[in-house]
Amino acid sequence: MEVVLAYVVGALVTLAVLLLLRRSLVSVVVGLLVLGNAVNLLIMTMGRLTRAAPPLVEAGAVLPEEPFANPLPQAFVLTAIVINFGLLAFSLVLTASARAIAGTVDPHELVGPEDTPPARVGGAA
Amino acid sequence: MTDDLLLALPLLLPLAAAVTVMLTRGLPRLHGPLNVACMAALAAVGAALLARVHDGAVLVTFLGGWRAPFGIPLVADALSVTMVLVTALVAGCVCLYALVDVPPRQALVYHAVTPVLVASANGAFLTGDLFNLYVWFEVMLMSSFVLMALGGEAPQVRGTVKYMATNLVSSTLFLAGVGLLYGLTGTLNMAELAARVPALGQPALVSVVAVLFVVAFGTKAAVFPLFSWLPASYPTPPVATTALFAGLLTKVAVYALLRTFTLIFVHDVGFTHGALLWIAGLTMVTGVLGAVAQDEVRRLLSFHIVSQIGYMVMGLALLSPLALLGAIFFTIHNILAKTNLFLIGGVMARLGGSFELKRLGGFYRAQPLLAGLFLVPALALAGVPPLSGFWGKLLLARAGLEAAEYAIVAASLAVGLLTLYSMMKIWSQAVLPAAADPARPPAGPVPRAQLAAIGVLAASTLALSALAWPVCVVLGRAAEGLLAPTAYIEAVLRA
Amino acid sequence: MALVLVVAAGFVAAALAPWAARHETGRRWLGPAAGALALLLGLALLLLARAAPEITLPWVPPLGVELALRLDGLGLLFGLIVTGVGAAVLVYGGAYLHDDPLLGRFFGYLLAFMAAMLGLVLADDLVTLFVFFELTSLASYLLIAHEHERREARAAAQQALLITTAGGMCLLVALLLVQQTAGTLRISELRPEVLREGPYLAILVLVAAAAFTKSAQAPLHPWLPAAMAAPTPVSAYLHSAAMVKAGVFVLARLSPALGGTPAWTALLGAAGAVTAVAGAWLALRETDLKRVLAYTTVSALGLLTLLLGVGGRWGAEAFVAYALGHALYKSALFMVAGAVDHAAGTRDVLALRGLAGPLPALALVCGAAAWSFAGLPLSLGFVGKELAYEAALLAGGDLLVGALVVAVGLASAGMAAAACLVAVRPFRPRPDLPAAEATQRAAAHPPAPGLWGPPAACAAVGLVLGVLPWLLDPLASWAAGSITGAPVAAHLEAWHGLTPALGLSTVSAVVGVGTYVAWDHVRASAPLRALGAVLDQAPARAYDLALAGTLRLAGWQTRTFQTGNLRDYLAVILGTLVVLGGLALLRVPALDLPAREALPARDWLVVVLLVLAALAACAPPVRFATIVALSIVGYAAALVYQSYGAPDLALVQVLVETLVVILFVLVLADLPLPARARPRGLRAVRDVAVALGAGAVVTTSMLAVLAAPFDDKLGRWYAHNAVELAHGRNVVNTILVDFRAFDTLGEVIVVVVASVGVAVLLRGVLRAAPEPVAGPVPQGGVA
Repeated sequence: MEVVLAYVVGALVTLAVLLLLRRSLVSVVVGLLVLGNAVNLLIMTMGRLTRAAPPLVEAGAVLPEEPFANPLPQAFVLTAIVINFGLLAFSLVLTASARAIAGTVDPHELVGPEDTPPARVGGAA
Repeated sequence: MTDDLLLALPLLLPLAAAVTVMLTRGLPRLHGPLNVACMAALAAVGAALLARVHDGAVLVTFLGGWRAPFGIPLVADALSVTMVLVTALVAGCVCLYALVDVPPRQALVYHAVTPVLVASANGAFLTGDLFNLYVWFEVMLMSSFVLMALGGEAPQVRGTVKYMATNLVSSTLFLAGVGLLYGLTGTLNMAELAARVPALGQPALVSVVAVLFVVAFGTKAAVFPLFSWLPASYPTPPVATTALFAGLLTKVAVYALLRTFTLIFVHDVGFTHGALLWIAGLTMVTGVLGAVAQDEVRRLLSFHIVSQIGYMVMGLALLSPLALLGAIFFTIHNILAKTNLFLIGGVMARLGGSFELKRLGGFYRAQPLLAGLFLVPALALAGVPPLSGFWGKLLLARAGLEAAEYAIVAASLAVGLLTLYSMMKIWSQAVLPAAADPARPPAGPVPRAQLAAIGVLAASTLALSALAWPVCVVLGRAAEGLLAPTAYIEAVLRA
Repeated sequence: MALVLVVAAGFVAAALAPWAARHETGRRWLGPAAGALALLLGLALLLLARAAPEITLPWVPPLGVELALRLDGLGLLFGLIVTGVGAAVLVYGGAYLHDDPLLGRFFGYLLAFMAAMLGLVLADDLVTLFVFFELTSLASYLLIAHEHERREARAAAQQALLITTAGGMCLLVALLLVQQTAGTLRISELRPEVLREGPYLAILVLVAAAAFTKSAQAPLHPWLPAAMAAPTPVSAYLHSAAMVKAGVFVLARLSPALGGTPAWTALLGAAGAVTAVAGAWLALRETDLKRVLAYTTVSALGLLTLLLGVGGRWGAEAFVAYALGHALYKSALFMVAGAVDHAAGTRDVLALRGLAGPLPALALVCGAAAWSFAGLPLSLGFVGKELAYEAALLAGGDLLVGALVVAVGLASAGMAAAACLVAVRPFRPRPDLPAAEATQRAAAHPPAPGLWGPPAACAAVGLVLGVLPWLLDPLASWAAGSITGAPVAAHLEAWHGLTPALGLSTVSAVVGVGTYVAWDHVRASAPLRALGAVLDQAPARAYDLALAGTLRLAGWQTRTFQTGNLRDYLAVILGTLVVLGGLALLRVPALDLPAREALPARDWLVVVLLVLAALAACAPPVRFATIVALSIVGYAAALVYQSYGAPDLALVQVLVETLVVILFVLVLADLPLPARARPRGLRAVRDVAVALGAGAVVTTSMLAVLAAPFDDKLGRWYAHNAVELAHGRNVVNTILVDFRAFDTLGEVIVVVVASVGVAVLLRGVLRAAPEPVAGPVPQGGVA
């Protein structure tokens, strides 16, 4: 499964990048979501996947039943999912406010005076 | 006071301040002074920590009492403590400046989120765990999103969009790198990584992972060619926000680069640090050229941030005690000078009504004190001796010559000349000429709090210049600690 | 310690000057007080000279940098020039700018400059020397831009600073190379034989570059005539007597360590000769008194460089006498030019005539100074020039002697002509012509004593020393000894007898006077115009072009990288990942892929679903189906987690994914959907390449890592200790809330701050909402 997932993650990354490079902030956010999912799968794969029991300790036992899944990547991914959710919620609303305030969600149009490169520069002091 | 508490305070103090601000919503006049006081206390904590680690000692505390590598350690060495101290100093000055600069509608959020930003930076400086570093980076990112978007006008929205998308991508790459490193070594404790990576015997494979870190931290540090988001977004929020970002955010990423590329990714130096050297040179050149081309104070200064990051990366890439000392010295110098320049730019815009160079003027005659205060960070940044930037540049140039990397030395000095040119551009286009509208010279009084903030930062730059000796001694130990991290590793793993 | 005080006194006085200038009394006495201070410092140097003090204070020991000061002959010579001429100029400056509102700052800069100059000439540590070298450039910048509301003044100041700082950068590299080679920064400890082992030529060229920019050697000189935009006291002090001499001073200072080689002689001799001749003759094109003087200063600096190149006892003696003589007469002439300007309202030679009538005192002073300028007998200028001829005649090799003699002769002739132009033409009584407007104005505005007294003092000292040059013998011996590095018993004479040098002097004086007589024709003659085009306009234009080229490059580069388009920024970031990652992967030895395990059909199904859903989500445009596909991606991932022992993760994933869908629907409901869907052309190719590359890099990296063995000791430790240490049965939970609770704290903060951010943004959205939605909403979707 690990090898297959390596290819799956690669495919997800490719698709995510395609989304990121689209002409819409909505696509960018979708891309970020897909990318986040890809990296979560990457972390799980890196902790090596075993078709095993969840790392739970039965009542009365001190150790979980072998073989059990590696709990650490699960903890990492849980943290990452929640963090990602916070950031994505913000970016989604930011997209909405780009629409409402800047009037567009097209990166080509989200160019303001702060981006305008100087057309011609005067030399002297 | 126990070490454990002392090490936790850089996080606890600002978080407590943030919570207090949220809880006392009805007392808005309290918030600004509270934050200033909090940063002052933080500076005291930083000084106390520095007194403990200045001789090369490493302090460690394990949160919740779980030993490394199972729990997350907070590690204080000379580098991280110096960063904490400087952060407190500039954040304090920015909070002082912000006492009179934040619109009332934005004040609550500004005062609540700024300490969170500081806490997250401190978390990044002190943590000894790579995944935890990711978490604090995300906290920092989230807080900076909110601060940047706070104005709520179109420019802030446009800026935040670019900032958000590029930095989220880089964070995701960071996380992917963390995942790969965990898959390779089975640990994310930085001290243990330092011990385990060489044992893998696969330097080329580790370098593949290192690339993810270069791109992730490089984007956040705004190095060539990943920097475009910075000049596109930093000029958009209010000055009190930009100044803090300018001083802090990119430098946290530089810190992360310094830490990881001395502790973990040092076994394939020809590839990793060779790439970093190219990045350093191109960053300083493109950044300063960008600055030279600008006619607006904030944009000009934003490009300068990029250029100066190149010097810090140069020190890292050369990877000698002298070079790392130069990189750290330069980082501190730059945080102080750059924050101050943004604050001064803010005051100038407040008095002159614009950030455009050609609409400003008359400061030399009407505001001699402000003009004088501008010269301190401006000349320091340009590396005019004997100010702090000169010592940083001297250290780096000497390190470069010792490594026989003549091209980077030549580039760094040529960039210094262009830096001088661009600082002079502000001086001779906005400070010296007569006011654009002779009937309205920028004669109004500068608010005392803002003048105090600028004065404190200028004094800090002067102090750093005058105290180059002791600073070099302490930072020299920090640099040696980075190059030979036995003390760090042992403190964490055998504590 | 006394030396430190001598240097520090000027800086302290500089800090006090603006404060003193706030009161009328202070303003009136600022000039005399500062002048007295300068004289006092000069006197202190003289008194200290016998003891030849040295002091070394640690500055930045980790870098080997010391604050080392040492008073030797060369330092004393230049120290006396700096304080002596400084005293005159400071008194003069107080009178010249008496009604300037920025008088305090002006004196602050001038005094700081004097202190920096003293630091420079006393420095015995290369970094100390460099620091003061740069400070003089900075003071010069601030002073040239004194009339800060004039655009030309600012441009000239900028040019001077850029050129001299570029030279400073060379000096910095040179001193680092010296330190690397010799292991010390102490100038008095440098050994020539050690330096010649190292990168000698690089050091020499870099030091020379620094000195040539600072001392305005052709073709790097155009900043100096431009710097005449500064107030006249600045020209008299910085740009004739003091700062521009810092360059030749550095050469003299390092000549024991670097001098005496063929490369040294060739480089300095050639640059000096060209500069000496060009400067003197270029001066004759000018009609502004200050610019005439500026070009002859260039010439004099060339002569000094040439003398250092020739070296030896005669070169050193001539250098000492000429440096002192030039400082005295040139500063006096500048001050006279300023006084003429004050009185007559112009400095244009063509507009000035017959000034001796209304301004007799100035005429006398000008004549006395110009006497020395022209190198006529019984002046210090004459002594210096005779010695220069001697040095040239004694240089080895016929060709060299010939070249040097011609250079010194041509330079002297040009200077003699310029001296007449400055001193004779404006002042000579012209009863045959009607009184010029300027003359009438001068009669009505007689200069204050403060404007003619100081130059008179300078000119008088020059004449006295010209008649009694042996008074200088001790100083000249000591200073020449410092330059050659061996003891010299100098003996300066007012009259050398009928020597070949005297003959050459006579010839050059005659040629000079002849040139002056024919000046109206010479001024616009073709050879002079050609000289100007090659050595003056060309370098000035090169500077402009370099600046403009840099700015154009800057503009182009900024437009290229800073497109303002988020897509480009993201493509660059991901493209960098692909390129660097690809390079790194190429270096990894052949991959040893882990064995394929048989996958149950269920897993295949989930995986295929995952990829297909992602593909669907990727298909433009974004619409409701996209969101459904997106959620399927999330749910499929949850299924993977579920079947590999992570039920909690699966649960949270489903929960979060559902929330995301809800959010998306809320936000998307109101979005307009641009008509153009797909990227086209090069951008599309780029996007696909980057996307495929990124996927390939990630997959390959993962496979490479998977091929290595994995150490899951951490996971096992948590599982084994969850119950005992953390009292939890769900190991993942114990990690989150106990072992790694610090991560969870950060996670909570992110969510809290995010909610604050969402609230902030929504406030803005709601504020903007009442606006009617502009434009039609196309039918398609967002791409």
